Amino acid sequence: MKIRILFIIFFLPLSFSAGQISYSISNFLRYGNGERSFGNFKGEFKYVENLTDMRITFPYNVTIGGRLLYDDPPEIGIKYKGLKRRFIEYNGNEFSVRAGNFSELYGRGLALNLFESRGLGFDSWMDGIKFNFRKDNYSVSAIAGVLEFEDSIEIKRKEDYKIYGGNFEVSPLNFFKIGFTYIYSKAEFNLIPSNKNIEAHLPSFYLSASNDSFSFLFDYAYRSTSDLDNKNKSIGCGIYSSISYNEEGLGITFDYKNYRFDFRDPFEKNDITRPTRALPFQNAPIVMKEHSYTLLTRSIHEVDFNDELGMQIEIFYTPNETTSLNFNASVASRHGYYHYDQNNFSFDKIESVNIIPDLSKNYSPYYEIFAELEQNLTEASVIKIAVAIRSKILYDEFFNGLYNHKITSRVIPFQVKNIFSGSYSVEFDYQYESVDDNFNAQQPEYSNHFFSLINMIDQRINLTVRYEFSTNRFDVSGKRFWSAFELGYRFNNNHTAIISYGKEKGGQLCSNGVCRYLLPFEGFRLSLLSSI
Amino acid sequence: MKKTILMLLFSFLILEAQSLSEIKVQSIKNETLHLKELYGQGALLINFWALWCQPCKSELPHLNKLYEKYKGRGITILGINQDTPKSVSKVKSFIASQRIDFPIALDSNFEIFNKFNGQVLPYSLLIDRSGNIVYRHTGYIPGDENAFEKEIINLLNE
Repeated sequence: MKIRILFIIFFLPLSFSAGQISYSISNFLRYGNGERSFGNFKGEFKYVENLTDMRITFPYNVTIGGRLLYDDPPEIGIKYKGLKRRFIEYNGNEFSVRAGNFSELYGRGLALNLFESRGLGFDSWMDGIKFNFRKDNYSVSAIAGVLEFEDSIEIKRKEDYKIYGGNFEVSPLNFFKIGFTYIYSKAEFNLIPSNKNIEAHLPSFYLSASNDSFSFLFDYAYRSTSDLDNKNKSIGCGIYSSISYNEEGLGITFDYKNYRFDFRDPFEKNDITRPTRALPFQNAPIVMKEHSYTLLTRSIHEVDFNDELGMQIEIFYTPNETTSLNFNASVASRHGYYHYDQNNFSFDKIESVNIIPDLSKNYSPYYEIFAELEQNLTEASVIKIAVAIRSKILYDEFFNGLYNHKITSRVIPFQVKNIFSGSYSVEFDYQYESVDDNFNAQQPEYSNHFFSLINMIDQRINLTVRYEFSTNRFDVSGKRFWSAFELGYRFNNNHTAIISYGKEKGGQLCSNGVCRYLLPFEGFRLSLLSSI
Repeated sequence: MKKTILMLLFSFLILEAQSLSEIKVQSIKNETLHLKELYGQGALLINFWALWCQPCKSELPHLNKLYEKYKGRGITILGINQDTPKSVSKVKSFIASQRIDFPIALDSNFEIFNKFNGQVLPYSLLIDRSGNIVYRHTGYIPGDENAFEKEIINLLNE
């Protein structure tokens, strides 16, 4: 007994201090106390979330880790208290294996992309075993386990998946790579009055080629889903491809998507529990710009991975050290639409053979054009100005286009940043949006204005004031004005605290040197971030 | 007796441990980069960033200047991009346009980011020649690059 105690007292700390056993811990506490409103309804809302991620690495590259999660009540998602994640893994030079919770991505995610986004309340991590082997110019990966998926927004959607699969990738030439994936899944959808059982097969292949100037990628996935209770079968497929050209000061990327995993009539389309839809472990590229300006992060288009065709081009150009230009254009539409036959009370499918998006309103088109200029006026000051034009039509298939939803938005963000001294800098943001939304029937045309002033003092203190107002008298929140004050403090490089008070409309906000996605809220918020 | 032998064996195992040595990443130039080889040259600054993260993009040119200034003295900077498949195809174009010279790797699945317990972006770590993480930094505010430089100089003076 004495020897054991001596061992614990002397050897373990020595091991930690000598680095033979290493550890890392991060903790993120979020607390909010206030209200949420929807129209005339206002209710108290409080959330408490604490997330602790830990990793301990032992001899011979063995690591154990886990996440302690306290989400009660959560800001978004499912209530949870306890050990949310745990795993043990071995990482060797060529071989790694992990048992427990894991994420994984094969190709560009058309067949498998397991990930978590806490801001959206989405979690598709699996619990099982993952194996990877990489040697010279090839790699092999295999996974087996379960995914218990719960949709935080569509609360009816609770699905349990058993997933088995693998990926093989080889580079026969230095600039060329080809990969094959196969995923098999058996799932049970927990529904009322009775559960559904399905079986899905997803073979996929991808190839990529690149040198210093050019890159090309092509990814194809096929999906076959069988509804085991009704003996129905559904098949679908998806394609993603990208090509880019790069040279010093210039980068151009063009990408293309053609997702046809589940083309359905309007009734079936709205059934979020149908077994034939794209599965939660399939998460393909969106082929749209991901913005950092707050008003532009409130997207007017939700990508439909079951039925969407689209293209995007993005150009980054830096003609000199002080000027940067960015241009983006994206367009998307459905493959077809349904026409309601009032005589037969049925839907007739009208499907296009186009491989590029169709901007006719029947195909529910979406497009966006974005351009941005960033100019360093001096060594200490930067100005940015951008313009974005977005348009979306959602075709009304029930009444053959009589009640289409059309929304257009023009956004002009402007930002100026100045460093006054080594320890004080200021950033001012103004974003203007004009909207024309025919579903906002009493006031289809309105504008939104967003102001933000960020003061950064001494690399430690961050004072932010945000103000937003809308001329829309019929906003779903029931409000027209939002304002918030935020104070951030860096205790040292490992610990940061942020408190804020006020009304937030939500969206992506970058302050205190980091970006977060915030949901609409009114009240007091506290965040504490630590890592050691 | 058996217990004593087991404990001595355990001690021996402890003395053989390593932590970052087996981490490898794929760069956007299709090269496999071993972290051990990078930090073994002197020190390694790892910076996790993404295209949608404005402070990240503001920080990159400053890191590039540090890289140009200290690469001849064994300091390497490695940018690990966290863009998901949503926008990862544009990373190479953006890096080319910004004339970033230090190596960039892709981590679309957040695997490397999770290994270092990252929570928000940007997130930076300074690793010394022995593989020890000597400095962590979350976020970017103008002027933070001076703090990185100070830590790099401290390491070089050791």
